[in-house]
Amino acid sequence: MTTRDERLAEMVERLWVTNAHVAIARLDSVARGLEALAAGEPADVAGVVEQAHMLAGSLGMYGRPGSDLLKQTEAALHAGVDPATAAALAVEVRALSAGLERPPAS
Amino acid sequence: MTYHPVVGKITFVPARVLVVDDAQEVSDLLVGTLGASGHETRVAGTGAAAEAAAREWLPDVVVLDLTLPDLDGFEVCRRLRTFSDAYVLMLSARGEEIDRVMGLTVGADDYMTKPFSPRELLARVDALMRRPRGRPDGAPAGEPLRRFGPLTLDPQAREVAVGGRPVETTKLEFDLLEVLTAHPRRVFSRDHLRELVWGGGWFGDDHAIDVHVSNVRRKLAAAGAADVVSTVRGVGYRLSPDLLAAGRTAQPAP
Repeated sequence: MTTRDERLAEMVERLWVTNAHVAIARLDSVARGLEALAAGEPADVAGVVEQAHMLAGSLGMYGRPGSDLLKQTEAALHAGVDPATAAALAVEVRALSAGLERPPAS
Repeated sequence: MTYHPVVGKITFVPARVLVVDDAQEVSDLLVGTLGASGHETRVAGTGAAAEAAAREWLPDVVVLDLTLPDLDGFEVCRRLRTFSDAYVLMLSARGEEIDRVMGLTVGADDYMTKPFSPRELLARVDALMRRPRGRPDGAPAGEPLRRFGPLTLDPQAREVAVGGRPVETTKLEFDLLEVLTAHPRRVFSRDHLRELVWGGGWFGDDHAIDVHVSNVRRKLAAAGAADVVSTVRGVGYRLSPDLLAAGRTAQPAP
């Protein structure tokens, strides 16, 4: 890795610290939407799809996991997700969020 | 200029990059990445803001997300193409072939599927900036004509014209204008100009640069373009902001 790449990696980490709360809030919004659908309650599906779409793009750019899960969630919501699948996805999204909130192991 | 162990010398061309994305965490990352590498950046969060910024700021590259709150990226790209020849690098979390094809069909120059690494984005932007643009007068692809108000500079033919009439310049005078018009908003110190125009062949003092600039001014003023080069006190020279305000494509090619 060159010095330029190292500087870039450091900058990405600094920006993640600044912006992690945005991603966590989006994940919470997606999880709540999925939990509502799992419980048969009304949910703002379009809003949840939008949040999932943004996360699918952004998490991987910060070198974080979850883009595949969010793409899967977005596709499931587009297709009309059943309650059981929504519940399973909600659990995975919550777990992803908890993992992102933990400080990295040093 | 950087050196790559495999491909050798790579020319780095700093660009004005308009980042169009409504997700703050994404635009922050793109701006940080591009800015850290020497590019100038500006952000627009909607399609309408992108169109306005492209008209006013004249970016070299537009990094355009496909999903925006007001217009989709395809429509923004279509609109940009009616007045701008900026390179458009389209971004989307959708990687389907139809989206990539559609993006390129409406005039995008490249397409990236999110997520991607910041390093790849930089490589793509740098590659776009090394790519020659087709000339607006239908001449073969190569370095495009540069037009600022009445001034036209043809880097390939090494010709300068004012209001369509050719202006005779020396090699150094042309090189000075070539550097200033390549980065029309940048202020160049005398040291930087000396390095870019004279390179290793410099045998004078800074006064010689002032003399050449003065000659350029005199010749262009005589042809009808006064104040093409502005002095920035204590720093150096730049292309006149008034000339920029007159527009990059305000006059037809000679």
